[in-house]
Amino acid sequence: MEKYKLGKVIGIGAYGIVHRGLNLETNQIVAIKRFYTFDCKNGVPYTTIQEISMLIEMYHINIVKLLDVISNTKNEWYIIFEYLDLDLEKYMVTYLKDSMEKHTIKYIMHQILSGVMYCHKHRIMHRDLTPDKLLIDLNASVVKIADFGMARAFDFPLRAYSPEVVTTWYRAPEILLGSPVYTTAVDVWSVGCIFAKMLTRQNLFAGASKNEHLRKIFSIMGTPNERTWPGVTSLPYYPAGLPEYYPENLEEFFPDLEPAGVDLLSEMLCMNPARRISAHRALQHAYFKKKKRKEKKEKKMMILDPIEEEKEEEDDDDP
Amino acid sequence: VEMKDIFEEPVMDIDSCDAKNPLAVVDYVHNVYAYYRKIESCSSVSTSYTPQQSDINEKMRAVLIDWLVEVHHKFELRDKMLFLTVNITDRFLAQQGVAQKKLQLVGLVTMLLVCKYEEVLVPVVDDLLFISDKAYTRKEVLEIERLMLNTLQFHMLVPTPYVFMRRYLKICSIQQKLELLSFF
Repeated sequence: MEKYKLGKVIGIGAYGIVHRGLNLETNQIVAIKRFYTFDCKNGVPYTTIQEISMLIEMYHINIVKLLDVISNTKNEWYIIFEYLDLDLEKYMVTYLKDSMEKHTIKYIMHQILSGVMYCHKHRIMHRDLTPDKLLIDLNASVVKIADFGMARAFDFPLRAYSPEVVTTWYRAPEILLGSPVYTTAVDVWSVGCIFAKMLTRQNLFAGASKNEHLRKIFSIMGTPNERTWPGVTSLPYYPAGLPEYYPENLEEFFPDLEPAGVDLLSEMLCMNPARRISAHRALQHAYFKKKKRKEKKEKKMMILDPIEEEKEEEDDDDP
Repeated sequence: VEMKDIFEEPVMDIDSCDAKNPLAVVDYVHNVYAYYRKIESCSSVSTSYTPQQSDINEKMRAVLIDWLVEVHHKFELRDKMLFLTVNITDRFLAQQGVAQKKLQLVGLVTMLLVCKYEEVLVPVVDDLLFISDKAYTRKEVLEIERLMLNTLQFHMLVPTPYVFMRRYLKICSIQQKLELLSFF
């Protein structure tokens, strides 16, 4: 660790503390994640192994870059990341007094989905996407997905994974209902919730408890049944005695959103995970197609135009 | 171009039957396998790395692998994990000289890493020390663990023959008996 100087704490998570830090050789500001070592008897914590082994092979503009991994003889592990001073949560609170520009939302959504698609194509589920895990670089206007502490690499076919993932408000209904298996679709649901939050600055499905949360989802998206989601009623936590809600018209919740946006949002918040849109298809959705005339004006205002730049970036990974 | 057209036609779409099974992640299965192919070459080792080792030879490696298979059975771990264990052991041995008496330790630690990676938390360091008949100390285990992670630079998520075999088996739509046999 001689190379780096630890600065103030900028974040505390379930598995470690994140410090601001300085690379003494290059004077570059970095983020340093220090893992807790609960259990010295059993060596490197498995969360450390998982997070590093996943991040080490990800090279994408919308995913936070891992710069270095350092360990010492006391079995303390540090991960050095690029430093970004802002996350989406803070950005919404401090920089934007009331609402976000429509094109900014579209632009951020496109970047999040690009990052998520990259993960999924590299058989990784993030499983904990929330606004505070999305870092923002204001100068370059880039959004980066961070904190892979909950992420997992999957196999074909998927097997059962831990149900305790994703911060509650962004948790997909199949997890809330206790489905033993879930897929990459849980990430898409979370991104849908983030989309809704950017539009209204409020959580679309905010409930104090898990049941309250489920009820809230059902009251807006409609109570799922065997016809809309085969197998749903036999899931462990399918609540008995809930009223049969009909799906609400999402347009009423988001009056300022263009019709294509409403359509994309409803596809991302599709209750049945098998029918939910994938990140890959979401990126091809009409919402991201540009209108010809407006395009020229907008282009001058934006520093970087991701929608045109990132057509196919599967090839930029270098293992 | 014409040749290509002729060849592509009879290819059966093996994923279409899974279109309704979300667990098959049909949307991404091609991407993931393409990625596996791409990184396969950097994640496999040449078959002839043993001469670079001064203290161990092919025979010892074979004995080690046999022992790992046995341990693997005892802990009732998934097949996939055995392939990963062998892969990591080989990749480590191809990069680091290991003394003969430490060879078993390397095998043990690999197993520990794979279990940690796969979130199977059954064998802890104590179990491993026990099955090795207390030949090593905890300190040695932890030291080798750190050395291995640093040597392999955390490249743990490598495609093994197992993942490719699964795909081939799917293409052949084979019976379960043969499927089990194929993993030997």
